[in-house]
Amino acid sequence: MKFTSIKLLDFGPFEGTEELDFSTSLKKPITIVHANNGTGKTTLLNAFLWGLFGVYHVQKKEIPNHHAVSQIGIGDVLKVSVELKFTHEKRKYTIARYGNFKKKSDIEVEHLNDNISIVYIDENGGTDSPPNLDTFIDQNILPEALKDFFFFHGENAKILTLPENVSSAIKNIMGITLLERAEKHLKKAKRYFTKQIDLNAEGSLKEVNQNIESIESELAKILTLISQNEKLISTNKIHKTEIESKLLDNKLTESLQSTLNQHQNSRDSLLSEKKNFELSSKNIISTSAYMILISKIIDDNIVLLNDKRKRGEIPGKIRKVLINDLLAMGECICGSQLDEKSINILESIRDKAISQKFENRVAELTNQLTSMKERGNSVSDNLDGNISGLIRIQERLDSLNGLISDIESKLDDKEFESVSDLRDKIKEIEKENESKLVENTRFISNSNNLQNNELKDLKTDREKLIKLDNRQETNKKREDVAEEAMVYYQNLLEQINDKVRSELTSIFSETYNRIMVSDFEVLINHAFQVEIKKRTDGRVPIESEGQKRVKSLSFIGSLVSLAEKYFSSKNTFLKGGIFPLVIDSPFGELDPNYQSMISKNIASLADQVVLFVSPSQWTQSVKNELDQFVGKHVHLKYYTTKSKEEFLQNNANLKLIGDIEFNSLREKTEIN
Amino acid sequence: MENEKVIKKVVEEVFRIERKQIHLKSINDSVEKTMVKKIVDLIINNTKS
Repeated sequence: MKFTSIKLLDFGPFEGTEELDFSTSLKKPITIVHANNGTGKTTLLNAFLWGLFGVYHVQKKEIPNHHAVSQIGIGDVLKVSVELKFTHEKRKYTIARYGNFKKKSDIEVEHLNDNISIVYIDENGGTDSPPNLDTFIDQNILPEALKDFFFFHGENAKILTLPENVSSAIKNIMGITLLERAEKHLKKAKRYFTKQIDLNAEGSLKEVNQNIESIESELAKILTLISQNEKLISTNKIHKTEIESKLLDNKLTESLQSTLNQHQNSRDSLLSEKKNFELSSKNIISTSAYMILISKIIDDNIVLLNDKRKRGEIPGKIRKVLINDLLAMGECICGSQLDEKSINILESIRDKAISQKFENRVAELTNQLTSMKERGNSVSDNLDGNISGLIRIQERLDSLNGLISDIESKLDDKEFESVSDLRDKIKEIEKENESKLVENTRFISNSNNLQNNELKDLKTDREKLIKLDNRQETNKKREDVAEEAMVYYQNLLEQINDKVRSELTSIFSETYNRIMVSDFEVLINHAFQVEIKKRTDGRVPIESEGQKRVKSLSFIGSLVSLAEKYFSSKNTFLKGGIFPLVIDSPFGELDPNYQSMISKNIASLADQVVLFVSPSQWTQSVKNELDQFVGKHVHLKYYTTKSKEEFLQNNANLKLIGDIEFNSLREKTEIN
Repeated sequence: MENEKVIKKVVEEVFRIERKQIHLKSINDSVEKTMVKKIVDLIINNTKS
């Protein structure tokens, strides 16, 4: 199966008719659909699923395009459609699914029904339509059970945790189901001939046949129980890994909780420091803020006093007492006698000299003013210090609040189960598995006993008795033929199972290890389930989401590769086929190394690969790896009613690639 | 030797019968009965005394 195109009519954000062609080249099998997040990638993936199988991952009433609905009247019906063209086993198919939606009000539509049309052109150019349209795709082209494998959302790593999904996928694609049916039907045919023998049997033979039937029925019951136990053990192992993963998550939660506590303590101490600064500032303001307010008056007064000194109006340097003392002693300060001229000078300035009292008051005033100025400066410095302290604390508080809020939202998303509860669950599982293993050992021993002793003896008796009765010869021969053909299929099935398992494991492991650098080993076990273990000790590892995604992609890729190999080789018993891979967000949030490694290998996963990537995933290294295999680039152009500024406000980290048209009349997506 | 030929033929024919129904995801009782009947007839036709 290879897609050639998909055409949408009023489907989701795709208004009117939008069409996308896919690359069908062998050398360049990849089609890249570029789209910003939230502009229609997943809707396009869902369009494949709805078109082929009529399933939609969200409510069907979400399908119709809003603008198309707004253009019809209440009570009118809108027809939306998806048309897919593809080639499959030399036929060209066109499948179209139409959905009818009734407008109930301006905001509500009702899904009425879906119709499907399938038309194909065969290798001779004839056109036909298959019967059973509703089940045709599922039964002839692509099993619906495998839809999540072939239309893969990169973040959906859970599909591999469902063992039934995986084993049925492998068996179905490889055609093993057919061999299992052949064996089962031959067994029933053999039983038919056994019954014929029973009907004609008399006496001892009848009794022996009844005993054989009763033992075989008991054996079948034992085998069912063994198989049920094996399934339970296997499911329990997966469940145990999930719980171990939760335990690990709990450790992370504990570590987050501890970091949160540290941050909250730091915040409390910062808040207390902040309060102290605020109190101190309040105190300074209430007691000394006036100092700052009168600092100009102080400055003016100091200047005034200094001016008066300069002008000699306050000659505070020579005091009146000193002049009187010098005149009384008749001596100078140096000790020499005062002459008449000196006495006259001293007497003339004695009147200008100030009194001690006045002198002291002026000095006191000057000191007080200077001291007040210094205190004013100190108050101002203290307040400045407090303000810078408060700013520093507030910055740290803002940063801490951000961290606390991040951690709190992470913790809100976690479902917390106590470690002891989880450990108890693990113990319970281990206990149950142990008891089931013991039970199975007993069952196997019982079944061996029944088969090797009682049944074997009874069958020998039966052979002897039948030989004595000529009437049974033909039926016995037929029973033998049915049995031998059944054994042939049993052996074939065993060989083919081993072959498929081993080849699939080999491709799976090779693909996985090309991408991953971890020491994990992946394989397909006897129950056709995906298993992963550590190379070193064989234990089941706890995988990250990224590792799970790589495992899923590797598994799907290896299944498609093996199916293609057997399809090309035209093996009699193994069917195979060509299957496409349509992958939304193949890389998710994987780190750049994994992105690059997946890109390097993705082209070899299938004959046709359609990848939906956002600009942040289309990195230079991804581009470098994929470019040589890309046959077609398609862009989803998104029209928004917002302005660029408004849009970027809410999408600050969005890396634009020019696929957004701003200030549009309405929101829609176009395929370019 | 004769028996081996018969078994080989039965194995091949059973495969053809099953292959015709390969598209069926699951087989219901009625289809299954028809298929088993075809296999029984096949064995009878190849083991006529």
